[in-house]
Amino acid sequence: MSRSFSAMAALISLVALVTSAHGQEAVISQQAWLNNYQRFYAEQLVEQGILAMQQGEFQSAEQDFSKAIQVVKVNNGLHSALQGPALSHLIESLLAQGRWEAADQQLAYFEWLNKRSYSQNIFDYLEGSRELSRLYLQASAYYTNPRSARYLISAKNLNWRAVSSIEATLGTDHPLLTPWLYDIVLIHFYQASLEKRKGMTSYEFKSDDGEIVAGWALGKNESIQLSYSIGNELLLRICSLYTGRENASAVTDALMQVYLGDWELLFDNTRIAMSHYRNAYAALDRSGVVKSEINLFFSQSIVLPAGELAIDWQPEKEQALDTTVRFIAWSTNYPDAAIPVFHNPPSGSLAPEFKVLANFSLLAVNSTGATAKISDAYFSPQQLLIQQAIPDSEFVRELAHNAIGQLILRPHLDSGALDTHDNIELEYFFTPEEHAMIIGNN
Amino acid sequence: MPSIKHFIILTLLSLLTACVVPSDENQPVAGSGLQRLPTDAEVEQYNASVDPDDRIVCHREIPVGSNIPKRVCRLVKDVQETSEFHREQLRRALN
Repeated sequence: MSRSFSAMAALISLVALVTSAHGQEAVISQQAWLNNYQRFYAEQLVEQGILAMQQGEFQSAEQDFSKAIQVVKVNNGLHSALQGPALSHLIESLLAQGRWEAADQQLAYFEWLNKRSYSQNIFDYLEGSRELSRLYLQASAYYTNPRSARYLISAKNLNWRAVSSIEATLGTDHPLLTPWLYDIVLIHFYQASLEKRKGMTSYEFKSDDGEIVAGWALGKNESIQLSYSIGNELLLRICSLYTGRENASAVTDALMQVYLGDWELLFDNTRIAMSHYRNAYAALDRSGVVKSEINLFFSQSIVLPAGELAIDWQPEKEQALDTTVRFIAWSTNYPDAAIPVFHNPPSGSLAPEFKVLANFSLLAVNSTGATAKISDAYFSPQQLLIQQAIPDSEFVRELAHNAIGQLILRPHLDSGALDTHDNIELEYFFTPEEHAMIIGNN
Repeated sequence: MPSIKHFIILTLLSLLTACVVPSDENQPVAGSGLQRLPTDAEVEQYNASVDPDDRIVCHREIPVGSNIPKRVCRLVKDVQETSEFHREQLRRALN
């Protein structure tokens, strides 16, 4: 009896020992598991990934960002909006590697995640939409991306949905609408630029998975005309949004006329454009702005379209008259467009180190000295001279000459009349694709 | 002679004024409950929030018996169904 009892006690103690050992192992492994998913690791991983991106190690960066997303999910839940920053970087790293399919999946995931925030907080939704729109535009800027046109349309549709959500929750005349509307105007400029160059028919009616919905496509000219018409309509709406405000001023109204003129100019409607500029000049004059300030404003060299709306009269800003105009070309897809203001330079890719310094004129009289007549001479660079090129080669100079020659600038006015402006200095930074071409050519 | 000149001028004037008669684009659309046809921007805004089949397409058409283009808007699925119907009719006629 006593033997069996002692045997039983030994068995129980053995079982207890084994169980406790297992328990300790489980605790240790759980601690190790938790250590790998500590909340602060997410930030560290993102920083590590950004460094890797800067060094061109995109694959390693992709792994870091993926891990960061997992850490956020473990700590904050599967649908946490906190994974947004890491997700943005992950998409950038995938785009930089040319992994279009994987980038597309992550963009779709971002869109799904962002939609969830709409019902919770409109401002979070708008912030997410802004970032997603930036990513779509970035994806559309890659020349080799077969879906570039579709991403441009996705960015535009997303901006429209943001507009609809503002109208539904904050009102149809809320000031928040203006930047979103102006961004849609800019997207229409990019779209028209793409259509002019590629002879592309409209992608408007394609389904989101790239299939043509109804075999319906607009012709090239019809599509460009549509972009012009929508842009014009939106600028007029922005005008009325400003006019309806309590602190509406005649100056703001006049500045909006300038933007309307810019839009007409971009679509070759030079006479209507000139009429807007003259109206703006007269309106500024009537509203009591000093003539010298108005002339100073219209002596600035601005490559069109302007990246953002500036509707406050800030003469101190206009003083930088003789400074060099800086133009960072965005993408070969949109050759006459500057990089959007809220964009980072293309992530991880070649920094804009290749550039030229050029000199040109905007003429009020043509080369034969004939009386001024509205022509391209006022709006695009004439007597273009490349002063300096980095790297310096015939190829780089020719590339820059062609690119700068396509730009359209706001005309200079003096006392409301077209004015000659000589010796405009422009620093032109090449697109990433042009960088690659230059390297390939050297 | 002057009367022929006057006649020609009057005829040309009547033709010209026929071209500037305002289109009925902004008139209420019968039976649709709409006060007017949506603008291009409104169509684009609407299309951004609906399924591909529910999108609207607007463009200018020259109706039979007229030379004046008219803006018409249709649902994509209606355009699709009409196209399919016409294709079917053609198939039947050919067989």
